[in-house]
Amino acid sequence: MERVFFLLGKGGVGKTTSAAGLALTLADKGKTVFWASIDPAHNLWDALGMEPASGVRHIAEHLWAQEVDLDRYLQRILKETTQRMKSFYRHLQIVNLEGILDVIRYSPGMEESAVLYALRDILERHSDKDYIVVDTPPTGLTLKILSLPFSILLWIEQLRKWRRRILDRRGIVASVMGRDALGKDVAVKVQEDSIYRELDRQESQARYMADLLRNGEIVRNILVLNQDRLSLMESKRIKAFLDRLGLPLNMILLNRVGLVDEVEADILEAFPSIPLKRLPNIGPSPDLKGLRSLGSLWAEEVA
Amino acid sequence: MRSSKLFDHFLEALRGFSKGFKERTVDTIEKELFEMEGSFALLVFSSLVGLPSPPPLIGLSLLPYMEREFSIMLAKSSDLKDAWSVWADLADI
Repeated sequence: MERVFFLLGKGGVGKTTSAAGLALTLADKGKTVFWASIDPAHNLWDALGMEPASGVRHIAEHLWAQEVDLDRYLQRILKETTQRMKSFYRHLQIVNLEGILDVIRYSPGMEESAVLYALRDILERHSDKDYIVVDTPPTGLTLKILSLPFSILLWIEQLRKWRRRILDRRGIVASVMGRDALGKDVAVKVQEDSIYRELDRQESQARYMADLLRNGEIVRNILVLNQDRLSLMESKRIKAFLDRLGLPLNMILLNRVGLVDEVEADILEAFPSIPLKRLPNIGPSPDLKGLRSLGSLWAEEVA
Repeated sequence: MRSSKLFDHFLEALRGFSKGFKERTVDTIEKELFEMEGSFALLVFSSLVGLPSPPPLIGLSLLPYMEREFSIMLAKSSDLKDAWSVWADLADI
């Protein structure tokens, strides 16, 4: 995996067509490319003029694509939890635990958790490809997804501190009163504690994503915007957010140039040191040839 | 024979004292431990009491291992109805 491209921007600015142009152009150069849409409201197949399909599809030489089924990932998270719950709490065998946990999928925060889980899975599963192109959801959800590994790491750091204090005190009680004083299977050392082990496991998964997102050698963040005021305002917020998390911004794609021209000067002022590419407006539903010609204007420079 | 029995009683009494001293030594630490274990459950599932909670993946992944912490948290919350006795226990009355 040489590069991972994230296409960011306000809804409707042309992230998917830009991702298509990038993926097709890179594949034409003979590199293996996996193009994934993690937007819950996908339109990857629409951009290519294809019928919707589940799973990975081979769409051109060296190029594979997938609209990631987030519901399937949510189900996988809940299934794993249910199985582990049942193996630890025997009395739950007779309870309809699946039905109870199923409600959790509608809880706040579950959607971005599922997207992050899916993203990690895709990156691991397709690490043999040269390039991975990720078409992201509109700004709000994307920013939550990108910040999630960092907030998980902060929480885990605090929970581990708390846990170590608990284990210290359990150790004191056990050394004075005997090993089983608090109960037969109660862990008194870090190495024996399932909770600590699980925190370690979660930490390594979140660390993998956080390190990758901050890896300027591999990750290329591309901000797509149009020449209208709302698009510019949202793009500024994305830039500020990336700066706050220490994530790179590698290119600005000014898409559909000439369609509306409200704020060109402001755009140049807002992103002074980032390479900017202007992409012409080529109509509402460009064909593969049109997508390729758009991609060829900027793909090589960012790769 | 008689002196040996007396000696056994003496040893038994010493063991009792020793156990009492030990229990007294760790009593405060044990109380603090239970507080911390209950609070750990509350921290992981703070949305139960309306506070911001960690990202749901953390809660879900820890859920299968938290039986003890949950029991302590629930016992603590049922003790809240009887705050005087908890206070008396802490004050060793």
